[in-house]
This record gives sequence, structure tokens and C-alpha cells, in this order.
Amino acid sequence: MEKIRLFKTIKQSPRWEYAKRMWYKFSRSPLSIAGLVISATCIFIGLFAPYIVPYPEHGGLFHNFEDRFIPPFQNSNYILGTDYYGRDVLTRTMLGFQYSLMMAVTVLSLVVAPGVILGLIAGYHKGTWVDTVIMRISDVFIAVPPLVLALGICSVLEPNIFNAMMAVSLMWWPWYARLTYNVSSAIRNEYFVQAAEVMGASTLHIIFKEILPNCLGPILTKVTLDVGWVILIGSALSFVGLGAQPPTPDLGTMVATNAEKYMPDFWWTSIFPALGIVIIILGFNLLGDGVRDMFTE
Amino acid sequence: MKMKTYIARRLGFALFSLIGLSILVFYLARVIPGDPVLMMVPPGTSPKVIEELRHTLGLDKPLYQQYLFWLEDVFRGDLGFSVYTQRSVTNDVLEYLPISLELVVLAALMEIVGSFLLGVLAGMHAYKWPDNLVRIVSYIGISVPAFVWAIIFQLIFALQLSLFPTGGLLDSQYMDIMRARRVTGFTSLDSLIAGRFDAFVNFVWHATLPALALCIGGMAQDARIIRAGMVENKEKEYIAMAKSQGLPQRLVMFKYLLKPSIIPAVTVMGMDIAAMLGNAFLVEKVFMWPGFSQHAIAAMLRSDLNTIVATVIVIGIIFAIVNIITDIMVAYLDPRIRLMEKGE
Repeated sequence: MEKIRLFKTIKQSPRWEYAKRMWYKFSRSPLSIAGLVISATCIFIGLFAPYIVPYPEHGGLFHNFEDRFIPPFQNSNYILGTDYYGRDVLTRTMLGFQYSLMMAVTVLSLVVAPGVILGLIAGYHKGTWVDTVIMRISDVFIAVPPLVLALGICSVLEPNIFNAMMAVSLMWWPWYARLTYNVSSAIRNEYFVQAAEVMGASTLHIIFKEILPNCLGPILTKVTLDVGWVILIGSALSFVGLGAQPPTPDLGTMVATNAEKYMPDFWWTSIFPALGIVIIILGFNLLGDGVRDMFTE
Repeated sequence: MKMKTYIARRLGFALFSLIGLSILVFYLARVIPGDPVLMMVPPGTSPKVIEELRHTLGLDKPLYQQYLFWLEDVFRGDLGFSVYTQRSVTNDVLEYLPISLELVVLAALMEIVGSFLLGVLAGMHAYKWPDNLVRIVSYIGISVPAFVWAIIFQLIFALQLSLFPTGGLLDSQYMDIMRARRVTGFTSLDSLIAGRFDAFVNFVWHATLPALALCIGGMAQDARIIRAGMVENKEKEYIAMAKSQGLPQRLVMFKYLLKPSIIPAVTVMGMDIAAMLGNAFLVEKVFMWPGFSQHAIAAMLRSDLNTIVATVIVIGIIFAIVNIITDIMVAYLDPRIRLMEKGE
């Protein structure tokens, strides 16, 4: 009995030890913990917003003019106040988290895999025409600030949240290609890769089994940080009117439409959704720094 | 590698990317929205008229030929006709672009000065309260998007405290004067050329809040990078040596410690300043700054394709210029980079 238990502990220990070491590196900074808590809260709100908000029906074309423009912190029914149509600002901001996170998840799940694979291929074939073609094409997409190209694409298409996601995805993959390229082209000349080549391993094996695992740290860090940046670009598109359209409770749309019409008298209709954006970005930024600490020695 | 070759290579890369970009936006503007001829004629036009129009516009030719014609026009400075303003897009660009650029330049100056001050302050007093203060400020600065800063500044400093104007380029009385005295299109330069120093002051007063909103995120980030560089380099032996030779504190600080510490910051600053061209789209909207971005958004919302294409291309060109200047500056500051290029 004693023997078996011993055997089990030894067998499980490396992975468990690794996780423990990772967690230790992550948790050394209180800011990382704060980031984890904030982003976990944001994800929770995003997932369950329709069930936990006080007034789910306020997300759409609801109106109740009797309760319009109630200032924040004065009426216990509407803690963050109400807007022009009498809709609860807290409810709409929380529902906005849902759209923002949906944007981040959609864009990142579309761009990470192709970007990373292209970066790996270019990195493995560094110095050949494959490298040149892939990296020069990716240069084209980063020849303007991401927001400008996304605006251009969105304006050609019909402005809605789906097209905004497509536009952001189209110009986001080169950043992953570049990052993976930089890491993998350096790893490409390490002895273990050369050893695998000498032993006759296939290109697929080398790229995915030898090189990719060594790129995961920076990629994971970037994915975490990018949740915030994608949400920022998405809200910026909505802000200029080329993303989600009212009455969608999108954070950027709410900030823009309310700031334009109801400042400064009814500032809360715009400032609280803006704070929502800030909290998401702050949370994922702090979390991203923690993830980076995890992968640095 | 000589500096000249280095610059030439950078220029070549930039030109290549810009050509690629132009193909991309040409495709976006000509293929995705559908048949451009059908969009120009009223519904119910006879097919014969449509065919003739298609022929006169050269739209019956293959796509690559259309692109080459279009590129030729662009090189001649003809960006097409704007459906939104009913005049040549080139005219619009020349009128609005300087107004945006002077805002970005002001923001860039503020960012450079601000990040140096904050970064050096934090680096000199590392791990003491000024450092912690800068750390907190920079986390907030990075997390708050430029357009949120714009709204907050406008609310507090313009609408509540009335210290700054809520928006616009100049007060109306100066607006008329400057319109008559247009030389370069840059309001700041024109006012100085005209000798109207009061108009210049009025311009700066209007530009302060939008410029601050544009630069504050990058400023926070760069301050952190300068601080990190200074803390790291402080431990190096050459600093101990300089100190032990009895060089004055100030000389050690600014000549030996600051110079290597700002190199990574210059790279990021260049990227930030280039990114301001994008953020200007949002900040100009909040402050009703009558610049290029504001104009471009109005055109985008009206699906004015020629203006959309021109916007992306023009911003792309400025972006490339800023990046090249940054690269040259980094190479100038850090000879190691030039030597590394040689090794490749």
C-alpha cells in the first residue's frame, strides 16, 4: 500500500510541481492577483449578464420616461442612474461586458491559430522565399494603425457588430505571425531542432512538437493582453458609429451616443460605460503581466 | 552597414508595404461593395447607358488594369472625386490633414517631454514614493483609452471648470482671420507667419486637451520603460566606474545613464506616435477638431469610397515616415543595431 502511494506521487509530481511553480511566479505580484480577480469578474458578468442584471429588458428598445435621467447613487432601484429612455445604466453596462467579451473571444479564436501557424512556417523557413512571402504580406496589414484599417473595412461593409469583428480579425493576425516568427526563427537553430532534423523527423513534427511548445509563453501572454486591446478597438469602432448600432448595449456605442448628446448634465450615462471599458482593459492588462511573469525565469 | 544603405533599405521596405496596402484597399473599395457603376446610376437606367458609363470610366477592363490606372492617378496626386464634399479628394486632404497633423505633433511633443520627466523622476527615486506614484499613474494611463480620456478631460476641465474650450480649432473671431491668411494650412504656422501671436495662443489653448488625451496613454507606457532602463543600467559597472572617477552626479545621470535607457523607449514612442494617427479619429470626434480624421469619419459614414481609400493610403504614408524616422533615431542612438544589421 505504502509503495503504491509513493509510486503515484512520484509519477504525478513533475506536472504538479510545474503548475505549483507557475502559480508561485504568478502570485508573487499582488497586481497579478488583482488582475486575475478583475478579469474573472468581467468574464463572469459577461457570461451571466442576462441572468444577474436587475432589469434584463433594459438592454433593448425599452423606455420608461417617468424614470429618465435619474442621477447615480440617489435611487436604490437604479444605483448608477438611468439614461434618456429611463433605462438602468448599470444593467446596460453589464450587458455591454457581454458584447465586448464576445468580440474578444470571436476575434482571438479567429486570428490566433492562422497567425501562429503562418509565423511558425515562416520562422522555420527563415531566409527562404516562404519567409519573405509570409512576412512581407503581414507587413502590409500593419502598414497603418490597426484602427484606421478596421475603420476602412467597416465603412465599406455595413456597420454592425459582426462586420466589426471580421474587420478587426482581418488586421489582427499579422501580430501573431510576427511574434511567433521572432521566437521560432530564433529557436529554429537550436540543437534540439537540428537533432530532430538529423533523425529524419517530418517538418510537421518539428514545427508543432519541437518549436511550437517553446513559443507558447509569449503567445499566451499576448492573447491575455489582447483581450483588452481587441475590446478597445471594438469599442472604438462603435464609438465612431461603425460598429454595433444603438440600441445594442455596446459599451463604445453607449459612451459615444450619450457623450454627444447628454454631456455635462447627464454625465453618468456616458462615464459609467466608459469605466466599464477601463475595468476590462485594466484587468486583462494586469493579468497579462502576471502571465508574462509566469513564463520568465 | 552605412547609414545611407540602412535608410535606403528601410525606404524600400516601406514602399513595398505601401504598394501592398494600396492593392488591399483598392480591392476593398472596388470589389467588396459591389458594382460601382450600378451604385452611381439611378435605378431603372437602361443597360446600354450603364455599359457606356462602364466603358468611359474604364471599369470594363480587367481588375489589374483598373488598379494600374488608379495607381497612376495616385502618383499624379489625383485621389479621385469625393461624393461627400463634391470636390477632389486631394483638395480635402490638403485642407484637413495639416489640422490633424499639428494636433498629433503637439501631442507627440507633450508625450516626449512628459514621459522623460516622469520616467527620470521614477528612475532616480526607484522604489520610493515618486516611483510608486508614477507606477500607479502609468497603469491607469495605459488602461484608459484615449477617447475616454477625451471625454473625462472635456467633462472636468472644459464643461465643469471652464478652464479650456469644449472643442473646435479656434475661437470664431480668429477663425475668420486665419481663413483669410491661409498659407501652409497649419494653423499654428499660419498664425505665426501672419504675426498674430494671440491667434497662436488661442490655438494652443484649444489644442491642449485633445493633445493631452491623445498622448497620456503612451506617456505612461514610455515613462515605465525609461524608468526600467534606468534602474537596470544603474547596476552596470560603467556607471560605478564613472561615479568612482568623481564625475558630477548630473553628468552621470544624463549622459551615461539616460542615453542607453531611452533607446527602448524611443522605439515604443515611435509606435505610440504612429498610433496617435488612429486615436486621433476618436479624440477629434469628442473635441470637434475640424481635422482629417473628423472629415474621414464623416465620409466613412456616407460610404464615400474614394475618401476612404485616400484616408488609409495617406495615413499609411505618414505611418511609414514616422516609423522610418524612429528607426533612424534608434540606429543613431544605438550603434549596436547598425552593426547587427551588418551581421545579417
